[in-house]
Order: sequence, then structure tokens, then C-alpha cells
Amino acid sequence: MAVASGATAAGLAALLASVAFGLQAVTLPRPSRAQLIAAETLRWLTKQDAVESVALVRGRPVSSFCVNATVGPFAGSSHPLNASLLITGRRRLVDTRFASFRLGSTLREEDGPRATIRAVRAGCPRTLQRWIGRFLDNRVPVCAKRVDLHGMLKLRLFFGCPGRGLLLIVQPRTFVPVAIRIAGQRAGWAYLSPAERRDFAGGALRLSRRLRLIVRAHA
Amino acid sequence: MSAWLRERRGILGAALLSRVLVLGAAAADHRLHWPHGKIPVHGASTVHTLSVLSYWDGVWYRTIAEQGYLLIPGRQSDPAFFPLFPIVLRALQGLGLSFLTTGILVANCAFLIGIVAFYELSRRVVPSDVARASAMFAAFFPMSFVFSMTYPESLVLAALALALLFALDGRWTLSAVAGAAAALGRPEALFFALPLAAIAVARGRASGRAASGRAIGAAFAPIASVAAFPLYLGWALHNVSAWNGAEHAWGRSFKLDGVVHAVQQTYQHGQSPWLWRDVGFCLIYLALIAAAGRLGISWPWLLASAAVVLVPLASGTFLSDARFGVLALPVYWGAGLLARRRIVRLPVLILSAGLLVAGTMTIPLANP
Repeated sequence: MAVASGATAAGLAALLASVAFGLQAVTLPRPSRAQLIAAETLRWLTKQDAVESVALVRGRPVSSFCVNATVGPFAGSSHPLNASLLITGRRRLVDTRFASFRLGSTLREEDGPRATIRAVRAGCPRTLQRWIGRFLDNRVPVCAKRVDLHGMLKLRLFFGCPGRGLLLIVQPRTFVPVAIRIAGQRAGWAYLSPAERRDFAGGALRLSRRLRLIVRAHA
Repeated sequence: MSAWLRERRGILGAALLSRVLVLGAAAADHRLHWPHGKIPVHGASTVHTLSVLSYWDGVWYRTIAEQGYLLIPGRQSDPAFFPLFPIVLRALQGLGLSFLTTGILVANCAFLIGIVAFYELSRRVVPSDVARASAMFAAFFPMSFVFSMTYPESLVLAALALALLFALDGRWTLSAVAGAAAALGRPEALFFALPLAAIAVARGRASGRAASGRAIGAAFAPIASVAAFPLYLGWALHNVSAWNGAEHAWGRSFKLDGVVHAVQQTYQHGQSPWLWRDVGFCLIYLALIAAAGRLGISWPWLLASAAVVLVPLASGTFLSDARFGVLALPVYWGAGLLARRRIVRLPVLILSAGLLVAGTMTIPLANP
């Protein structure tokens, strides 16, 4: 009797679970394969502290290094802000959610989106996460296409958004980004690779104490 | 039928009047453009007269109904929200109404059904005068404005009350369906598997083998239904733990010392003053659950409702506990008992109604 009751109970619960699953499957739209790949690329980026990139500028390769950092706290806030610190030769740039800064003896705010675009092209993990995250949040169409890169099969993702499209080439199995390009920009592809975190906590990046602004690399 | 309606006229009237207050306050917000300045909710509509009722999580439920789920690593994303409400919105898309209008209609109709079902349930559990007062309090409860928002709370209230009511009447299959629906709306409904199991054990044996099996099945229905959600996410997003991942991004990952962190948060510098609303309601809920205990409500009911109020604190914050607690049904029985006498009941109901209007008008200021 107990076995029969148990079987009835299990049958009813299984039936209801199946109906619940079926209702979700039938009524709710599913994300596209390309959106799922983009989400996996994003997952990889969230685990990165630093990324190196190489881009051709006037026919010459230029390397950049971008590392996660914190900046501030700024006036009116008690917490430091998450940021990306981009180093290209002697140029240093700090990009946050709210603003970008040129790093010299002080932080000088950069006008316009150019600094952020530079950080995206350099594969700065946080800035790129923010961009891809926004595209996915807004459910911007994503297209995935197989492409040949230097004789190797890769996947090309295109996040289509008028005036702000992003092209990303990723490894077909791991979805790790290997190249990036911003649609509508003259600059070509930049090639990305994961990098080791470096310690930038030294004096070179310490700013005027009077401003109480410190940029430091961190995990 | 007319006798049935006549007997419940007061309850239905209270439920309708409370919704008139909520919808009126929301319309007043819109008309007065209050609060001034930019709306704090990204992606929310401001065109609709009742758009304030679609703020905050309502935007996420609309996104799920429109676009489906997508886990976005490192960001707040929609797999944190259970699927019943978007399923209903999507199913009613054929009516030709916007998701916002459909959401408000569904939420308010479900609330009316929920209040009547709760009254019927209360009549079987507590004395009839307490049952009546409890249903009135549920209608005018200060946080009950969330039952009119494009949130799943009103659907869950109706489904939960029906599941327990059907179980008490020995209609196990219907109870199982309603319990499963409730758990597909909000995970808190899972806790009510406990009173369902207690009812099943007490009544199932008396009604034969098949009925006993269905009784146990009804108790397990919310658990089975909750389990279907990660399975669906596994199928749609290729990630069974997408719900956990999304909850983590929302700061809702559960830890053993979460309650300690929640208490510590209350005296941390720079906290939102709205946190105190949630702390206050948490304490009120616990006091009312204790009062319900004086009515002889059995421990599985009390434990389930205490879990509804206390388990969210394990995520390290009191935030939104005022909203989560509206589904702890014995809370209203406690309130009904304390305000059993008319001389107490009327002023408390008037105060509740005033706070209900204030709560609705302040929706744009803080996520309930």
C-alpha cells in the first residue's frame, strides 16, 4: 500500500514538473546560439584580470596592456570605483563606468567616447564586459559566423547596433576572444591574449596626495 | 450563488476598495509627475497612467515575457526571476494589450481571487470573525500595493491560498496544480510544502490509498515545480545553475552568516533609509506570526511563514523583506486576532489604508 501511494505521489509530482517545464519551453522565447556564445565570452572576461593586445597602427604593431584597477574614491563617494587601467607605450588611461581619464601627474577627464573605445579595442576586461553586457541586456541582435583566421577556424560574433556595432572573433570551443574590431571605425582588428597580472602598486602610479586619488592594480 | 456572494460582499468590497486606493495613488503619482526628476528605473515605461506599478522588477518580468531568459555573467540579469508571471503575460498576448496593461490586469484580478480564496482558507483554520478581519487586513495591508504591481505576488497569493484550501477540502489534484503554480511564481511558495504535507499526513490516510498518494503528491508539487525551473534554464541557457548565478549578481547568494551580515548592514554608514521599512516590517511579521500561534495554528504553518520572512535574510540583507513577507499567510491571522474587536479594527484598518496609499506613492523612490 505504501509503495502504491509513493508511486502515485511520485507520478503526480513528475507530471506537474513536466507540465511546468513544458509551459516554460512552449511559451517563453529562447536566446539565440550567438547570444549564448556571447554570454560565454562574457563569462571568460569576468575571470580575467589583465589582457594584452596588439593592433596595427600606420602599419606598425602597437602593444597595449590592460589591467583591472580601482580608482578614487572621488569626492561625494565613500567607495573606490572599479576601473580599467590601459597602458600603451607611455600613455596611460583609466576607464570607469562613468568617465575616462588620462593619467599623468593627475587624472584628467577625457571628453567623448574615444577613450572608452580605445579601452574596448585593447580588450580591457571590465570595459569590454560592460559593452557586451549592455548589448546583451538590450537584446541587441548577435550574429555568429564561422571564419578563417590565419588558417584556423574561429567564430565571428557581430553585435549589431546602429553606430556602435562590435565585431569579436572567438575560439570556437572555449569562446575566448582573440580579436576585436569596432564597426564604423577606421582602425582594423586588434588581437587579444590573456595576460599575467602585474603589480602596479608602486610609486609610478601614485597620484597627488592632495587629490586623494590612487590608481592601483588589484585582483 | 447570490447567497454565496452576499456573504462575501464585505470581503470583496474591501479588496476592491483597497485596489481603488492603490490604482488611484498610482494615477496621482503619474498626474502630479511625482517624484520630480528622472525616473530611477532603467527601461520602465512612463507613458501609462499606472506605469508606476510596472517599475523595478516589473521591467524584468516584462523583458522575460518579451525576450525570454538570458544569463549575463557579471551583471544583474533575469534568470533570478521565476517564470509564472511572464508565462501568463505571454499567454495573454493574444488579447492585443500591452504587457504593462496585461500585467496590471492580471495582478489585480488575481488579487481579488486571492483575497476570497484566503478568506475561505481562513474560515477553515481560524474562527470566522478572525477570518473576516484577517481577509480585510490582507486587502488593506500597507505593503499590499505589491499585489497590484506587475509582480507575481498576487498570482502566488491566489495559488497558495487555493492550494491550501483544496488540500483542507481533500481535493488533492487541484491542490497539487495550485501548489505547483504558486512555486513557479515565487520560490517562497516552496515553504508551504510543509503545511501541505501536514494536511496530507493528517487527512490523506483517512481517504484511501490513491487519495493518500495524491495527498503526498500535492505536498511535493511545489518542490517538483521549483525543480522544473533550473531544468528549463539548463535546457534553454545550457546552464542549470543560471538561477544561482543571477541571484549572486543581485547580491542574493545565501550564506550561513547571512543573517549576521543583514543585522550588521542596518548600522553601516550610508545605507538607504528604506532599509528600515524592511526591518520594521520583518519585526511586525514575526510578531504577527507569534500572535497567530495563540490562535492554535499548528507549527508547520508557523514555521513555513517564519521561513518566508527569515530565509531571505540569509542573503545578507533585509532589503525587500517587507515584500517577501506579504506571502506569509498566518501574518494576517495574527493581525485579525489582535484587531478582532471592532473598536480596534476600524482605526487600524484606516491607518493601514493610509500607509497603503503612502506606500504606493513612494514606489518610485525605492524598490519594494
